[in-house]
Amino acid sequence: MTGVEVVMNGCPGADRLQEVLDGRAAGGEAAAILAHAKACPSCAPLLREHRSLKEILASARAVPASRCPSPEQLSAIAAGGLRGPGREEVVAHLADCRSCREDLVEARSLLRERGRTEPPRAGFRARLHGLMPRRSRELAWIGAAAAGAFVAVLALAFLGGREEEAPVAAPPRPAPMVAKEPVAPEAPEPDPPAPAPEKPAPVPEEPRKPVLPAVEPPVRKLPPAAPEAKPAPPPALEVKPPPLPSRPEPTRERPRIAGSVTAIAGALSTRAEGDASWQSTRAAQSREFAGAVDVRAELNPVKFRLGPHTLLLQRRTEISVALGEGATRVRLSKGEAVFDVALGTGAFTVQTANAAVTVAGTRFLVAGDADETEVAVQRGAIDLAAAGASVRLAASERSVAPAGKPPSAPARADLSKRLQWTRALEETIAIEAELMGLQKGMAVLSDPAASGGRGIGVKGALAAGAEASAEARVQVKQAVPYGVWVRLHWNHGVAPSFSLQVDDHPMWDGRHVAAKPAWQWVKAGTYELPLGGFRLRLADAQGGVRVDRILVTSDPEHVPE
Amino acid sequence: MRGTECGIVSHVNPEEALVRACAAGDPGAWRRLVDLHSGWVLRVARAALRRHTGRVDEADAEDAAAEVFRQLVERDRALLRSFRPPFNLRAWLAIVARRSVNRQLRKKAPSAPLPETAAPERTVGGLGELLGRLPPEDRLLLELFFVHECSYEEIAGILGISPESVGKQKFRAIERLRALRLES
Repeated sequence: MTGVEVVMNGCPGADRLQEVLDGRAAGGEAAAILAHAKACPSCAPLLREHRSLKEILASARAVPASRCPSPEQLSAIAAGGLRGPGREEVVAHLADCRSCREDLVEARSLLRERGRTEPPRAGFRARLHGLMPRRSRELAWIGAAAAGAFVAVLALAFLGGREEEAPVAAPPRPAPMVAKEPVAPEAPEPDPPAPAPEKPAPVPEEPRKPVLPAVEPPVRKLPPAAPEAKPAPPPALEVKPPPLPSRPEPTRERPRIAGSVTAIAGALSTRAEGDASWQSTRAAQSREFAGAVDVRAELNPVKFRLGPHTLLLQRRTEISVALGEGATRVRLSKGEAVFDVALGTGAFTVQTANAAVTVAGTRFLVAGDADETEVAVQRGAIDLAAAGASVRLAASERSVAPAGKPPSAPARADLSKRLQWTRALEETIAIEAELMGLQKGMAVLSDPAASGGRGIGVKGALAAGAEASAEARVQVKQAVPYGVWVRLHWNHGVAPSFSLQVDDHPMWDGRHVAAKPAWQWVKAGTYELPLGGFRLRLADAQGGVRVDRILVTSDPEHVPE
Repeated sequence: MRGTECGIVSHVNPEEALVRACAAGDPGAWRRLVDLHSGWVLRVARAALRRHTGRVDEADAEDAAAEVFRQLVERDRALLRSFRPPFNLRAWLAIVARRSVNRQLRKKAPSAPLPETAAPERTVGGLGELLGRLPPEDRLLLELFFVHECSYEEIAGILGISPESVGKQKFRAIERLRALRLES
């Protein structure tokens, strides 16, 4: 069917008409269809809608609420499309900002055009050559020579960095809002600031290391209920730690220990040796440092990783970190902070103006100013020393040391209120089981005691070897271990045979869940979960268990009720 | 040590190195940037002018492109020094040049019908107001399709989705609009 003489017999159908309106149909035929649509009472409304949409959109004047993305961001989209972190913000901006859209569409179409770009005439080029002023040329040579040594080491350092350049001072590792590849936060585990004496000797051939490793002890202690969650190294190795440094260190005299700070939630400011000013590190960005670094939370609280430890700073808090051989020393100069210290990573001390806290594997709050230091322990135990006296604080205990005085006797403390500000930094995802994708015999069951009055479970008998399952897609944002909880109902005497998997890797099984004639929350362990999102699968090969919800939380202290 | 590039370790993107050297004020690097990329900037400027004025005088295009290069070095080369990853020099220059040409046009004729400055409000049939209630991605898709007349492939490239899902998503967006209209 070609040519203009096509005659329409009957309506082309909505799909076909849409194709024509979309400009995806051949010219002659398209013209015939359009002519038909104009006259046909059933096709005309679609045509009118199309035209009015076009008109309205063309005349619309939305005011973008955000600032236009930088040329780098826009050019990254022009070259590779919208992707990576910050995509939503850019999409929202582009939806409202016609001029950015135009820039983007035009740049793309020019970039895709084939054929060489003709070099402009020599006269024009000469005119442009003269734009670089002579005076700054001389200066630049000096700057460049001085910068040379730096550049050799720090490949991404700015050459212009030696000159005065307040308006656009360059952070050493700027990360774009839209990158070609998502800016993956560096895994915090491989570079602990201090040697990890309890790290087991590397097993030469780890038997099929799962993509999703159960948390290693140095990262976060496993819940005692699920020791089987970590199959690889035999437990004996964990008990008797061969004290070996985490990475082979050169035998040069006292090398500065390399550490890294990774922002998890909120933006923090850091200043390492050699920094002229504070550098901003946004969520999912890291920065490395040698020996020591200052970290500051400005107007909002922040959560970050310091090697294997997790720290939460209340707003307007400033700390200095110094890494030594087998020791991490933190100085809290103002504000308050929660320290979640990983086990087996050497001594960890926090020093305030008048007191010192020494710990090994615990989570506690330190708030201090010139007048007094307050310490409260959430998990584990610590020693608080001030004015020559020392007290030991256990979980849920608190003590205050006024300036120049010994710490008060430990007293019970309700930490939930005191630590309210830390909640905004945590991510908790609740998955209603009945909203998961159910397969092969898994069914929605009504149960008044379940949330929303519904849960899931196997209905009827399963064939031998068959497995009923439920699946959900989960996306976590923080590069920290996540606690996984399951609210289930299991009152049978035999061992249950249900399990959780992440992207087809086994994560946990319910063998050790105690039977109980009521709904209960069971902790399925603590795991490093894939950041890009993963498939969470609940499988049951036997039936009899009912599941109401699954909770995935970055808050290690979160206990669902 | 001759020139600034010799200090740069090999895994630095050569385009990045070139811009960095220009940002540091290296005249040799600047000459090279001009020789390699002035044709491209001129082409972008020509296209931008054509879009707004219908026809392009070559002298006007050269003036506009020269202005882009002048802006690259003004204020102590602030724009060059702001160059950040990801480094795609041609794309970056295209965006910088387009923005510059738009600014030039706006300055020259503040009343000219440039996209942001003159347009009636969204009132027709209330549909315009309903548009604002669509999710941003839907709105962006409709804008690209209806206003910028992008093909499905082009929209797919920008949104980072497959061309097939562009059709589906567009259909859903229009359905949503219809539903909103019924609601109101």
